[in-house]
Amino acid sequence: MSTYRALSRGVFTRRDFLRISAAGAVTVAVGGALSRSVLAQPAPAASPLVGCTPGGPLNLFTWQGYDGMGVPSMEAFYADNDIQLNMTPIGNENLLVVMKSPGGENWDAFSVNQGDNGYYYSQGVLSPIHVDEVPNLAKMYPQVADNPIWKVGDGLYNAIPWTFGPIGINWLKSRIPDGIDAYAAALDPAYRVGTYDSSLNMVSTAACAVGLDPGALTREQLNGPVKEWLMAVRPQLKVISTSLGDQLTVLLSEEVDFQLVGLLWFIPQGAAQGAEVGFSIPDEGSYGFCDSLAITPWAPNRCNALALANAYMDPATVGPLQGSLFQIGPTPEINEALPPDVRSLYPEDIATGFFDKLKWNISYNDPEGPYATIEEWDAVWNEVKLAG
Amino acid sequence: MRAQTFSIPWLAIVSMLLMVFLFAPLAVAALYAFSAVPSLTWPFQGWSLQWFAKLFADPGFRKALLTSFEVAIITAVAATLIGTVAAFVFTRLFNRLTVTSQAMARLPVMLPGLFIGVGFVALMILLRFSPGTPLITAGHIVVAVPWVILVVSARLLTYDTELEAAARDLGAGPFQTLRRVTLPIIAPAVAGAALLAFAWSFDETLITVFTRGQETTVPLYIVGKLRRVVDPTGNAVAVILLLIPWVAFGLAAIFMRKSGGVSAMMGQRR
Amino acid sequence: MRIGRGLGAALLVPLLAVLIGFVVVPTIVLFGYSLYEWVFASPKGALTLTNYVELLQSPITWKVLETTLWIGIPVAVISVAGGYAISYYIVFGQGRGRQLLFVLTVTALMASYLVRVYAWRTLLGSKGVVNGGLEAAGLIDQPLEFILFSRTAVILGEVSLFMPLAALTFFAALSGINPDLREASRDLGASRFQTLRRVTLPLSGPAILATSALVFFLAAGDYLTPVFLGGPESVTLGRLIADSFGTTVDYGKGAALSVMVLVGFVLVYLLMRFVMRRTGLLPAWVS
Repeated sequence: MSTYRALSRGVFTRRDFLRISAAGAVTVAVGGALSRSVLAQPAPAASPLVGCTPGGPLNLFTWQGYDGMGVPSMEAFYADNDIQLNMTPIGNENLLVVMKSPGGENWDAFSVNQGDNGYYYSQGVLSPIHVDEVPNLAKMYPQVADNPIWKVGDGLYNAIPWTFGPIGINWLKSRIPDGIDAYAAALDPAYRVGTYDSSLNMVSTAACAVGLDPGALTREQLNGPVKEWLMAVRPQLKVISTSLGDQLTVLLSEEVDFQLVGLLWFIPQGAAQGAEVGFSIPDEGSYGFCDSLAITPWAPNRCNALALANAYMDPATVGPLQGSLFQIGPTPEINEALPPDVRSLYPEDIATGFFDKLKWNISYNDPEGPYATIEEWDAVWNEVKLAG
Repeated sequence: MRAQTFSIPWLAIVSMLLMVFLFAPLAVAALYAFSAVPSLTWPFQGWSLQWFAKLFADPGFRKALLTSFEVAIITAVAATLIGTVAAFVFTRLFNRLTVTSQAMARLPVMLPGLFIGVGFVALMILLRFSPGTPLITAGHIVVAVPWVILVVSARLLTYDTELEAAARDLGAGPFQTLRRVTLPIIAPAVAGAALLAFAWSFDETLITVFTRGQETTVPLYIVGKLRRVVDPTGNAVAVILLLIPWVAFGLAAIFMRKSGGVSAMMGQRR
Repeated sequence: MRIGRGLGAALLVPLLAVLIGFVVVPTIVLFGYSLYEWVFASPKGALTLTNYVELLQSPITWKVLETTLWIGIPVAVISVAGGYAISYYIVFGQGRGRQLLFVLTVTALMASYLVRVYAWRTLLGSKGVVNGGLEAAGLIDQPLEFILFSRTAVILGEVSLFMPLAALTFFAALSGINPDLREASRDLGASRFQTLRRVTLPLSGPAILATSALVFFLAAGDYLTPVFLGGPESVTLGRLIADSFGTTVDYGKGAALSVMVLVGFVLVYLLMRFVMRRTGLLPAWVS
């Protein structure tokens, strides 16, 4: 107690205050000036890196399961190439910021959603990859190979679009035997709904639910029918998970009746926990996702990252991995190598039945452009979340 | 002599109930670490050690364990050194500097880990410093030091300086007095503070989230586990994390039996 | 051992280096950063107050503040009350159980933070222990929904986190009360309750003030408990700040929010001090 008295009496005279403020101002100014120099972003690799020998660490920031641990063909790949994998699973971080923040310079590779490829590339966190470095890129379906989302030049891609899947609805079969087949179910107050905390996904879901295209959403549409739908769903949202695993955990412990932003991947994951999970693409139509492997321009271990890229594009190696994820690949050969039970979940003709059928979201970044930007999507979703 | 105390049965009951409230989650978590099934729902089904086996088979966990130990040991040593010295100064010298410093030293305890972590982010941006083990350790030291100061000061304040005067009367020099009178007496408190710092650093999460980079500590390993589908492996880690303070306290109690045991640590005179 | 001024200053250098380097300077830098607009991880443009203006104008900030109060105040009150009870018994009670209680309290404090929080899910979940027990006892036929993924759950979780801390700070304070004072009060004929109210409580007043403020502040800054136990509406200021440095990154806003929360904390502390002085819990001679 005497401390307080001494402090109030002795230490902070006006002169002390001025001195401290001056020191603070100087620190702020110096701090501000120093911090203006951004972490240097080296130019993207100029020529293809062919014929290098992989080996050593690989720092990978990707979705759980994408590393292939537990899949013999992938583990063999790492062992044969002497690669020590350091993988960190994504929760719901903003990957662009992670790459541009302190520590970002340590990442070799990370996973990018197709909606972000264009923007991330323009921001310099994706290095172009040449078809000479990953030959199987030449075998991709035309819908992928010629798509400006990934293609940035002749034989040049901003990432490896190695895995695709649909987004839909998951439920626990023991709890809802008939399943849920429409997004409209989320409007029903009788249900407790769970979802993933992502403006990208929730706005896309809402867009599909009201019949709009998440790849071309105008501001009027975003602030009109999309927001209305989200607000109408909000009272039913019991848990908004910040990770995929949490979505499944909450579904299995029956805290919610079904999950929006659902994945086929939850089926095998649920089975591993002894539970039967269902999945459907809702009647209103849904959107798909493509997670590509992006290699940073400054990657300390680019060779190892390219080795992984080639593994992701090799049917024998990646087939079982895709099978464990219940997802498909970008070349006919890879999809032929899928386990039959997974292959049967997808249309006979993947090119038309999948790529053309599903909608694809894009995150826009031009405030002057015709479509709503991802910041505006964020704002709407934040508003919806706090409306409870 | 013990001052007036009275038996307060109802307060005893309330305290016990509160203890039940505090330990119920821990008991449940520990219980499910031995569950035979992956699901964490009620009722509890069967006993198994598979999760512990799975845990130690995971190289990611072993690495996290190693990192946590490294950081905790360095934190304990550094924080105890810095804090004990500071506690000495604070209890023996009273001027503007020490009084201000003492107040400042309370800051890290009062600031939620979030702000310290966020401060580290600012520092990283400013100095272009990468996150990683050194920064994790720095963050832990910052918060461990005030606790050490607290524990050691408490002991120093209740300790009879007459003993030192007596030693000097008998001809001992200042360093001799320090070494042979003061330090042995406060040693239990210092040891206790070090153990406290160690155990605390081992479990620190809020700051480490921001300073981790690509390193993992044991608590962050749990966070990672919780991002995946939850199975009792996380609970197995919890049991391990619960054992550490028990062991630390057991050691401290045995170690201090000479100087009165836990009561001495509680600062009471015998 | 006597310590002279010079030696004292020299011995304090490591402590001061740590504190200034890792606490004071970052806070100042944070304040500086809040005065810029940020694009990703670098500031752009000139010094400006837009971050503060936008935050103060945004309804999200106020909604989150409201939630923080709705969670933080109950947590502080319950933790302080419970902590006081426990430490009171340890210090003034009788019996061997007190040492055990002390050890248990410290153990609870040092038990893994994460697990203590997450374990509440198993207790409070729809298929958790509490619901299972209540259903088995026939008291309910549908699981209680509101006890998990709600503010209630966050409050329970945070109380279980902070009550041991409160108990220990009170332990230090109550141990420091001269027992003769209480004895004298009893000798003069005051009842136990009167002694409590007019001697013990005022003497521990500063501790109560400091601990309440501390617990409230910690609850406000806790960003993990609301994520694990809270529903969509349980977004506290802590979570908002953590997000702005992690997921929805805007360092400028995050820094500005941090500064505002810190300033707010000081104001709350002063307010509490005023109130406690008025209600006699804090004697006038304590600053």
